[in-house]
Amino acid sequence: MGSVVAACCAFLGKLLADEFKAWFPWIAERILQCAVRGLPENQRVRYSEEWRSHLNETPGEIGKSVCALGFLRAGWKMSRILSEEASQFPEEPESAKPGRLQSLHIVFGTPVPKNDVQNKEIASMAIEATNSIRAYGKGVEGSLDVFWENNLEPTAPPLVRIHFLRYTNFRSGAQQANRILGFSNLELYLTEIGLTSEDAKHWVKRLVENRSVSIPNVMLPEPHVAAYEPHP
Amino acid sequence: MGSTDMRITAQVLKVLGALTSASDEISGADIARLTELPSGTLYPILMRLERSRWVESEWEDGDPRELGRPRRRLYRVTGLGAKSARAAFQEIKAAIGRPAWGLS
Repeated sequence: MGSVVAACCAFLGKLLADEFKAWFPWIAERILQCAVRGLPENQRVRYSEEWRSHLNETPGEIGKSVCALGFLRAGWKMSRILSEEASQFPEEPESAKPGRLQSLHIVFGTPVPKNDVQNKEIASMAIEATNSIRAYGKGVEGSLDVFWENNLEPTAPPLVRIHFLRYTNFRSGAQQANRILGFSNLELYLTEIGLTSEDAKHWVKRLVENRSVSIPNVMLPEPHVAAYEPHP
Repeated sequence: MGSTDMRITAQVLKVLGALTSASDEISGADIARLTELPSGTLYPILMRLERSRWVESEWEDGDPRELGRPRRRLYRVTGLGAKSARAAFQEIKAAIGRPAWGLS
């Protein structure tokens, strides 16, 4: 009797597994369509084909479904980036852009020849820089809220208060603030946590104009995160 | 959009490393394999790199019907990307050697 039940269970199990397997491509396709719908209309055709090609190259039905779920996240993030960009930098018609920028694009937009020495050099620098970051500590993603505390005293040296709000594992409670004296030190600090010097300058300029700024998507090295943990 | 909008993170470095070390143009799936980044992280990075003109992409040659599969989008680093990446790597190396500037 026991062996009959076991055989029936095995048969049903295989049947169910086959059924699920047959449904996986359909599920992956539906998730992909959903992810593409989250993108702005002018990007949908491109990413629909590109992501379908990526799925096509991904082995295994479960792997495809996981990959498709990743596209959902990608679509959401990309859409957010594009809408933030649109609000910060309204699109200009091509004709309105200064000729200088177009020439720069023509000069620098040229693809680098394949296999050239420069590329190899940059690749080795990329590995070295990645290793340096790894050695320095893993990054924690979040946003930095920066506030110019003594903005009502224009003659005093500027005192800046910074809160780091991590995107994941955010613990409730008052976050400890970090304070920096002087805009040049703030700029140095921002480059130290991974922003380019141009980005750092940009955010300091925004802070001077608006008294407070929120810098999104900062990858703060772990040694710095401790300074922003909640008060015990 | 200019290169000033590109923020360098460890993942961005991985993607740039994969793109510059590849002997040819490579697809998103290839980059995902090389960097082991999930698709949800990879494509926003590629989009940011592309919008900053550090990277450009184009469809592979051929008709999907003849190929029997969807066309691959192939990525490569631009001259501006190579130049900016080099500056960014040097900046990161220099910045990591500096002390923290927090007062409290």
